[in-house]
Amino acid sequence: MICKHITELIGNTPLLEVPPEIHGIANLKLYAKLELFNPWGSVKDRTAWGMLENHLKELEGGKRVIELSSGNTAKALQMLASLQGSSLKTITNRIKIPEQRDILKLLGAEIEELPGKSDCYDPNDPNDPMVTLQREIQQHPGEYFFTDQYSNRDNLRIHYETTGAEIAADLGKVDYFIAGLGTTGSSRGTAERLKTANPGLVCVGVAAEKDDTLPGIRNRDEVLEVGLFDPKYYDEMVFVSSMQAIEYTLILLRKLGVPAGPTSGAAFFGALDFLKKLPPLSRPKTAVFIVCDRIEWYMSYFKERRPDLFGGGKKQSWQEELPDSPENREIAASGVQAWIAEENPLIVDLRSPLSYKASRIEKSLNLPYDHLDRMLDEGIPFGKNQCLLLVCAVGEKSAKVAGYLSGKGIAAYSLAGGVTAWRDETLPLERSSHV
Amino acid sequence: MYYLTPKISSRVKTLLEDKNLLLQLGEALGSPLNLVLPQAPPQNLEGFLGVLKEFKIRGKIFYACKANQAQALIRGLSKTPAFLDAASRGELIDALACGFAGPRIEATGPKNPEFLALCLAHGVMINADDLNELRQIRRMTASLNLSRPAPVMARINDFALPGENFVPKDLRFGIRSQELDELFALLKADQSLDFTGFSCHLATTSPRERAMALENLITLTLRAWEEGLNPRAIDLGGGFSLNFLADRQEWEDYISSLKNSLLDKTLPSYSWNDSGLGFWAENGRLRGAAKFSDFYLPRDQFAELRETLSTHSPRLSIRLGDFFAENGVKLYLEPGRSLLDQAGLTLARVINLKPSLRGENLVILEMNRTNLNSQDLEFLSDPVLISERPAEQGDPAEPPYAAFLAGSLCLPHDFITRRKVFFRQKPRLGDWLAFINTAGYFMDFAESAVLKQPLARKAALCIKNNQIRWWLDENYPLLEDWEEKA
Repeated sequence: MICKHITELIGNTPLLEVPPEIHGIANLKLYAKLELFNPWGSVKDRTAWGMLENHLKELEGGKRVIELSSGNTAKALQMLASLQGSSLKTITNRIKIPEQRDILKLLGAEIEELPGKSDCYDPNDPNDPMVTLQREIQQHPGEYFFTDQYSNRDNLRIHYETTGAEIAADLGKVDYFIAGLGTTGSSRGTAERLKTANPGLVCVGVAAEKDDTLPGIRNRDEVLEVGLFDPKYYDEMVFVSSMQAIEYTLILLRKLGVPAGPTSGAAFFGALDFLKKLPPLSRPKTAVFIVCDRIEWYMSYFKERRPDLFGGGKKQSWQEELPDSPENREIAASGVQAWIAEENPLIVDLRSPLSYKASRIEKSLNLPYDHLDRMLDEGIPFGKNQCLLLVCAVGEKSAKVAGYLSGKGIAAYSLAGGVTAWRDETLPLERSSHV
Repeated sequence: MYYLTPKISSRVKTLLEDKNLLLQLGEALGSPLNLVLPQAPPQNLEGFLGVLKEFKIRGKIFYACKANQAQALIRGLSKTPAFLDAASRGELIDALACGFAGPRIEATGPKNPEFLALCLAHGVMINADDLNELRQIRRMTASLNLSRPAPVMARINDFALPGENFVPKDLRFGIRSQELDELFALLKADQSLDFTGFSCHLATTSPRERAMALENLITLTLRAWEEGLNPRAIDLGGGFSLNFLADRQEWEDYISSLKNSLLDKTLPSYSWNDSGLGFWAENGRLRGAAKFSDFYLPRDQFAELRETLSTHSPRLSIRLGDFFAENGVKLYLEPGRSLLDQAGLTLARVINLKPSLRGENLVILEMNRTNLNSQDLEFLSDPVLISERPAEQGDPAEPPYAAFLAGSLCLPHDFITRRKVFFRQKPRLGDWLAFINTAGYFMDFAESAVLKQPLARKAALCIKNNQIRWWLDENYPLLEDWEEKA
């Protein structure tokens, strides 16, 4: 397959049949529309293309795209703009996935982040990204093309013309359609097209539970505030928690081999939750849900909510070998200068490089605890003949390391009370700006 | 139908169970009546100090006393390791009179010359809002003939970090990053100013913004050291949550009920005249933003502090909380509201029940909106009924009694709640309602004697050995010798 332009790869995504032993519903054929096959990894590639395809000349002419988006739409808009020699400016207070910020920066988008909701109430505070966006547009007349994804009819149109048309061409009549609600453009545009083939189509909207986050879609309250949202289009709403979404993302990943993001897991959960509550199907029925994007963007999302998925396989740590009653190897700060003069130890400062740079004991070596911790798992980086004075912030970590090393026959000592005690004794610290 | 059951501490619960005492106090001292509990803030203080201890941080917790004017709360804290944040000359005088010595006080906010002079005379640390203020302090130290340099902090209003394009709202307080060179020159030039460190004040509880602010202050501290200055504290003011409600589901149901009542005009109105508390319906869609703060907040203030201190900064490659002990820098915090968690309640007498023009129930209280008011924000937990009558079991088949709570001003806007309140037991004439957890910013923050109605009196209550003792606020003793007698 040879193509001339990356935009030719937008759309025409496959439908994957979910085997009956996984969905467990008699007389049902369930399909996943794999939008993760779009070139930039999400259903929003279509949305972005739909909103920009008739405005490419304006971008070539020097206009920049402006939008309120923090996720897949921003990525796709930036890619399309960048191909025209333009770029995206996005204004948002909704970045909940840190990786998305980094990816957008890597792609070359400009992000303006607004502060969160103020708790020092000020009735004159606009508190609304849209106000900031409108001001930016007004202050720079002619400079921006505002795609306005939450109200733009092209957002609906592109899904009517492509997503919905593709499903209709592949399956003909669809009985149930399930999709997450973000701008509601993809679900509504697709459903409207599917209804032309089957006016009896049942459309199910999936949103996050209250106070919960599913990337790219709204929660129970927010959905009421979206411009394109119209409750009439949805026969049923399913609200999904992030934990349920992750559970079903894992089924997609591990049982179906589909590397989809958590919002796809939510749509899958929503589909089965809805379909299982129906009376048993007496005749064959067809259902489709949207797999909207890829899994790789969301590692921090999974780690935060399911650290257990990442915990396994830890190797033996030096900390498990700590002696039960280590020798007392503490040197009090009051006499430490005389002791240093006597023993001439290698002074090892376990604090962070930043603190070491700011001020330190003269002739000390900086070996940050986090590094030493990992090094000690591999072996001991000190010789037996070397006298050590370990120093940290308050003398706890240094005592632990000294206890371990002395158990290994090394003349390691800890400064009692750490740099804090050293300061309290008003002993001299080197401070310089040129390390 | 919805309830918003308040979160009630065991101390407040014990008070609410002593109905006779509350009704006697109400009759003796009049409606409305504020009850403050000086034993509560020291407990909250311990929570903050405990987190600092986990991170081996030496810190100071400054009670921002603008949140409540009660002297008993200040006297209660004066015997603890707390410090105090005074934002006016009057607050400073109260603090000194209630047992805080000058070096335990910092001064924040806009300051007139009299306030500044009194700060300097008492060795109060001045958290300077701008460069003019620092110049003014320098001139004053000369004319006041002070023997020691004046301890000052510099409040910064800019969170600009390299690589972040963060657009702050405009802010009237603090020093801008463009003014830093001038600030350093000013501090270096003069021995009369003892520069203690940088401060900021957060208006949000967003964890990311709190971490960014702290990272910014650490960066500035490093820079000041390079300039040869000796900052030794970082002041992270404001920005901790307070939870008022017992149940998450109730809060969520309330928000949905309110929004749905606006979208669907066939539903009963849940806000006075369908005013929406900041929301309105437009072509079948909800517009606007809440004119209330979140009364249910799932995380507590101590967990928020722990989270910020645990944040790893890739830019500085340090866990933010490690910076302090490693560098001998103190962390200052200025919680007001969150130190006053469960430290007070407001009582008001029911003086009438009547229907409105359109047939909504109104409960008229002997108080006005200014008695329970934080910058016009709605108070969103259900009042507790205090009645001499035995508790009545309502008919479960009947919908609960619902009413708007109106005040006693002869003015149409005087509502205590603009949302509809559902009662588990219908209040009657002469009953009292108790609003829970009002000490932080609600009691006396915007109170006025409008229409010559009296300001609420304050009583301080303590519980020791199951015995409740009370004083008029101004008579609450610095030393509780009653403990020994009891």
